[in-house]
Amino acid sequence: MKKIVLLSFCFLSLFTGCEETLVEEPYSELAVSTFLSSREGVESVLFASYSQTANMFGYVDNDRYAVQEMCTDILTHIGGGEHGRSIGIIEFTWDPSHGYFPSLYSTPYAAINNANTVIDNIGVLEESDEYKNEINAEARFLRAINYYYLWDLFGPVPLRTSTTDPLQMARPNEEEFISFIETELLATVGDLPNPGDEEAYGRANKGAAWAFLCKFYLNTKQWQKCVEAADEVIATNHYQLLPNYEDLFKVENDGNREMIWVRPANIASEDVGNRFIAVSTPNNFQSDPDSGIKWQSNWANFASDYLLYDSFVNSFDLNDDRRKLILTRYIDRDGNEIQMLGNDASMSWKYRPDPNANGQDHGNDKVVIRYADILLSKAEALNEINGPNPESIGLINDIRARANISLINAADFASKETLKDEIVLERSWEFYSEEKRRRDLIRTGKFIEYAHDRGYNQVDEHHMLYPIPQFAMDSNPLLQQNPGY
Amino acid sequence: MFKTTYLFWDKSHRIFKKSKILWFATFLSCMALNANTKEENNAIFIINAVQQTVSGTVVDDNGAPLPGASIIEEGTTNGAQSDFDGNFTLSVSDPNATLVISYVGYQSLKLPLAGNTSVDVILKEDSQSLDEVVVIGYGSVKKSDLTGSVGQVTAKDFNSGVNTNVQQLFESKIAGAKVTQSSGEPGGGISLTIRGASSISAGSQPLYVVDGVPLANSSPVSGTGSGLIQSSFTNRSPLGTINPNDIESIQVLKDASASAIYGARAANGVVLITTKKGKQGKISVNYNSYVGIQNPSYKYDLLNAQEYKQVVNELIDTGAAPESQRVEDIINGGTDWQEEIFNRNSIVTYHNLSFSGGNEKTTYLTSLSFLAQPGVIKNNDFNRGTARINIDHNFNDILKIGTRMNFSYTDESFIPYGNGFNETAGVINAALNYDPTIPVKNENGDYYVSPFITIDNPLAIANGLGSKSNRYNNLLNFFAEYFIDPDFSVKLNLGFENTNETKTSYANRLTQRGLSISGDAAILNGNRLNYLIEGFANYKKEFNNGVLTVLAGATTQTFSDFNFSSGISGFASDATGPYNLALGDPLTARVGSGKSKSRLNSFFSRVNYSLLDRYLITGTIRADGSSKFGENNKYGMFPSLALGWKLSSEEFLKDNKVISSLKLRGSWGSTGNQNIGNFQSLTTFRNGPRAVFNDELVATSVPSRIANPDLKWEKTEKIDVGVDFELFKGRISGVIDYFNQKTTDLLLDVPIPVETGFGSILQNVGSMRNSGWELSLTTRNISDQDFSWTTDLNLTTLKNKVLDLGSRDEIIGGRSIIREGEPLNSFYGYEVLGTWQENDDYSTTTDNVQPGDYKFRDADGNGTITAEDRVILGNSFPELTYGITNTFRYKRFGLSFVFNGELGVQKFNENILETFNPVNFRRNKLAKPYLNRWTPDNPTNRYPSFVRPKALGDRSDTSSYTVLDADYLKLSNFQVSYNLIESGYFVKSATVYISGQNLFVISDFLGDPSISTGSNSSFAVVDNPYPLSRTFLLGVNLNF
Repeated sequence: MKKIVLLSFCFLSLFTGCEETLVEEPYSELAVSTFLSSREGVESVLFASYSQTANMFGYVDNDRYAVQEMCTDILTHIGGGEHGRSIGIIEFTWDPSHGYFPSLYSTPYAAINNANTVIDNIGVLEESDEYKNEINAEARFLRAINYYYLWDLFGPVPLRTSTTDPLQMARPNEEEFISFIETELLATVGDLPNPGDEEAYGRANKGAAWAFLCKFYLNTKQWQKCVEAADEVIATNHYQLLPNYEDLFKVENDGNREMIWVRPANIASEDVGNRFIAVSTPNNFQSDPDSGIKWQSNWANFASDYLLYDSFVNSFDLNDDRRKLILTRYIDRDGNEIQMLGNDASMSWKYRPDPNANGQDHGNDKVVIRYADILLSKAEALNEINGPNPESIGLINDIRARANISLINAADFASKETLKDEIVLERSWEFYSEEKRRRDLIRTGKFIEYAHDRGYNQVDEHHMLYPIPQFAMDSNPLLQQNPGY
Repeated sequence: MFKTTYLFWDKSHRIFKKSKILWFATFLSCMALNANTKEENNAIFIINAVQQTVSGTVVDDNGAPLPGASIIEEGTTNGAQSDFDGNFTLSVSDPNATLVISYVGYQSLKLPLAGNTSVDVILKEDSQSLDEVVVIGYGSVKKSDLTGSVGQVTAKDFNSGVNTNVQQLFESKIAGAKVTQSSGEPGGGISLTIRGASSISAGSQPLYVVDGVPLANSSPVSGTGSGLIQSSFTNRSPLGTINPNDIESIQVLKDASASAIYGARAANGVVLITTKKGKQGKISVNYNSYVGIQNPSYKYDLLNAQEYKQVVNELIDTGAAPESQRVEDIINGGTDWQEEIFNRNSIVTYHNLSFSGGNEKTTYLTSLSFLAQPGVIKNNDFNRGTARINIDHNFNDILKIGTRMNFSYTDESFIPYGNGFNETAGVINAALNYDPTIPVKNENGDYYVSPFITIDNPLAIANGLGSKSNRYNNLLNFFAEYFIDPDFSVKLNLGFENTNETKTSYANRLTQRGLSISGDAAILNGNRLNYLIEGFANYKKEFNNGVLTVLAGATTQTFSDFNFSSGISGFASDATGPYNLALGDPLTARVGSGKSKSRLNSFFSRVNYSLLDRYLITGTIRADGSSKFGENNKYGMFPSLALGWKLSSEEFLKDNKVISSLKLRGSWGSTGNQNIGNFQSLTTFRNGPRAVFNDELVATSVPSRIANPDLKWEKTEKIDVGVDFELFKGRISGVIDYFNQKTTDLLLDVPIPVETGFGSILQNVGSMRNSGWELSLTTRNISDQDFSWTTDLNLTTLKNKVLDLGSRDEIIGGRSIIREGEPLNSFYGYEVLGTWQENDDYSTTTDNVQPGDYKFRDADGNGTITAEDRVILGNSFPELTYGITNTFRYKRFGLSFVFNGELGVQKFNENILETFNPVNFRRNKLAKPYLNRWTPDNPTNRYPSFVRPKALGDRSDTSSYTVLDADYLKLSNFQVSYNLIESGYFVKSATVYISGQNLFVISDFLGDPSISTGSNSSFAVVDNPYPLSRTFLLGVNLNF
């Protein structure tokens, strides 16, 4: 027995300090302790928040387009595995487990969490106050606009403002939520640089903050504040309408002076590719007889096709420059001309294909807010305040003139309602494929009516909010579902 | 004749015992006392000896001759082998010498000659006897003393045929051990689960231990490195580096008593693999080779060109698709795309050469093998060379040292055949979906691209996308056991395993996507290392009424892993492939690397006590410390206790005519599963999605997870009750086991509020149970000198049940649900009642349905089909799994065949989904549903009209159409052999055989139900499977 004890002791001594040898070293990941106390560490988390705010990674960058336009009078869909999802939006049969919703809910929150990480840790950085204030303002700006995106789709959702908030939080009421977004944007705008002075194109500036406020006030029907915010954007003297509508969305014009906030794209990474063309080109496409653009072998095309209703395409004035970005016919690979208009199969070619595209990934930035939207928002708000007025008419005419169509006269609009109808129509021509139509119809009270016009008679008020996604409901018992779901 | 011989042996054996025991004891003690001068004594023996020739026959207990048995004069290297009829002659130096007679699979026998010059020897078969030795963790035990549940297969019972992975050797031969092929890809696609799935997220693969060294269970490199080339489904098993011919035996440790000594890695069971050792005697040379012809064992019945044209056009006529989709012509007769990608009549070859032998002190075995196996789909293959050296040395019974060294080199080519979809489809997906009315190439000689679908031409994929891998694996182990006295030893065991793999991938311009980015190349390199240091002591003490054995030791094993990847696209030419990355466009370059390390520190012990050779008790305990777990839970304790009762040793059963052997045993114990990724208990930052500023990419970081410092192993408590029996002197023998395993502290990604920015946190919550019965039965139906027939049968029943999911009742996945009270990952979707008919009452639904649409069951009766109408449609755990092996022998002929099958199991058939809910109208489809579809003239309820497949969204995706019964019966293996040479002069023996694999499968599955393409055994999917090979081969086995 002595021998056994002795030997056991020998074996045990093989492992002196056993606990220490079991400490895990995270070789290929970054440890928390050092990372967030450096400028580079904090910025790289902030940049992740920017990337998640743009939400262009994977194959979900068109999802926002789908949920914002397929439930409207503009867009429908056919083909691909995606059709199993798109049909739910088109026919208003979505439910909380619908496939588009998860990433539209979770990615903004991922951006918010990273923004909160920056906000929570910026204080300990040994840098100038000016630098810290600016970084802090950028993080708060990103957090606010992500809450705005969430509100737009799902209504008020839990407001997490720190990484140390309790895991489970309930939804605030509408007023609380709206007031949070407004306060935050107003609080940060002072610390943000003037447009053009930001560290790099794509970073937040005062123009973007005012533009979001303008859109936010418009959509929450705070008309006077909307006008004031629009004036702040205009007063930056940085933005302008580009003379030619067609040039706006070309890859070579990325960063033009009409763009206020974009989802930046780049062909070199699947994280940030613009995949609009891959879902907006017919499968057998060889060339466009109107623009002369020929299919290039470096472009990839998906089976999924996003289509424009004939009624929408036909609503344009034939001379409208904006209609020229719609593919109404094409030449197929056998040389036949295929008519698309007439079959509810026209396609938006707003983001002209990038000649250097990397497969499905094109480099054209996707627009979120551009100057034309600020002008039309101001026109709409002024009409809501005063009824038809020369300033509104002038702003609308700025847009129409650029599109090369006839100008309108104040005399043609007898009431606030008739001018509002004109603005709704004008906005459809100006902003199709820019993820605005659903909100425009909801704001102007036409969402349900138009759905009924398309035969979806079951559509009622509850469809104006999407449901909180089921997986989010399952994960947080404090969440209450939107009414009607 | 047969009986007489038997009696003779029996009698002579007893005579020995009485008359020669004194001589024998004296001899042995002289040997022991004069150990250091033994060589000299031997020499004197030989000089003084009178040479005498002994002859005899070696037969088994059925009287069948045993050719190639080894007969050695004990204490010398002088030996002979029996010829084909079992006859041998040997010149011995001493008429009183002792012969040692041995034969693989039989108990060795020591036979003192006592002056006899003619002896008939009967060897007892190992498996027939409960006294064979069974390898268990850190040792071995007599089978009759075994208290745990251990399944065992030895070399002679291995499945024949092309077995690139060790698991295939015992497929359908061990109850409770389910081998599943996920693919027929050469070299890949094998998984093994033992007694069900004990984990939700920590894997269900067992621990593999080769000659005492636990292996790391994953490839150093995963994926292809190129976004254009989908990686295939199959992980390479760590056992793919071992030559099947080197293996002596395989033990599957099932219950806690057997497996708990492996602690935190034993919850899914343990597989012990023991390689062959050399045997004393003259050099023995074995050459073993086969050549075979392979074909796909399954081909889908798709619409042919004519049927396709007719169906597509008829559907267009009814408004299913626009006029532009109409099929105009069948160009050049169309194409059978499956035939185009098949590599029919491919030739597989294997060579194995081994040398073994040795003397009393040192034995050796060295072997070389080479396998070249092409796939049954074009452009992929598996080539493996192995070299092994096993040496054992016994220094005077005081120090035993030895080494096991295996070197292997694997060279593989891959094609993407996995579950990519649309543009990223693999070759099988493409071939099943591609338009059958178009030719392979157009007039210019380019691959014809269907204008209607975005999948690439199947042959463009087969010839345009591919990867190659070179893998070097060294598995080395060294051991030394020092005997302080014969009953007390200490052993040191050192193990080392290193795998280095380099994979190159290239997507060329034959494919649309390769063309679109001017070629894409990637190189991946990975290095995986694990080393083991352990020491343990064995102690044995005999008491008046029993025997005590004690094992205690400590072990540490470290796993580390490094990988590097790079890739680039935009090549001016495809000519250099992946071999000159600098020729690509620098703007597209990408790199990555990673490193991780984990460690286990452990202490273990086992105590056995055998009382009166009737009552057995075994206790084991292991303490495992793992670096993967949270700082609050670094160490876990895994105890087990087992009892056995040898009833047949009791007075009342001794000499019973019916029951020759009977043992009851029961065990309880606790085991763990620590198989999760590294860093899971820490908060760290990892790469985030790239951001764009100034139109340039910027790297970002995101927090990897919310840390859980309490993270620990999953704990599986195993209860096992079993009976080992042998009836009618071994005519019938078998094992019955009942098992009940409860896993608690399940490692589960517990959803946390999405608002936190994270989806889930890895926590130990919940519990699950696996229970069932196992029966293994061997019957010797006919046992004659010329003719014998043996049947081996094993059955396993299995019930899996999720007991608790912590704070939640269920977790709903895309196609499955984890719900308390139901089997893990039950299929969850819509029940199809049939098809809406013209005269149906449409007022019962508010959904927009028309005649010919799917009629789903409105489970909640609210008039509309919603997610609430989903029901459980089945599960992946077969109620019954069985294997039956029949072995016949008639004179020189042998015949065996193996059937296996499953009953009461469902699988998800992804190819049917593609047929029922096509992504694209112009894809090809399975013929049967479309040719028998609903039309006003054919108002069937079996199939819909396929006019509006997405009328209710994707609800048909997971439905009773796509979740199908996967019951099957399969003839998996047969072999016919003939002994060609019985006792040649140069060639001692020669056997030729013909064998076949995957001959036929009977089922209603519309696919091969014996495959599961996913990696998750609890969620069985058949998704564009790589067909298994139907192989016929001709082999020879020569002994020199």
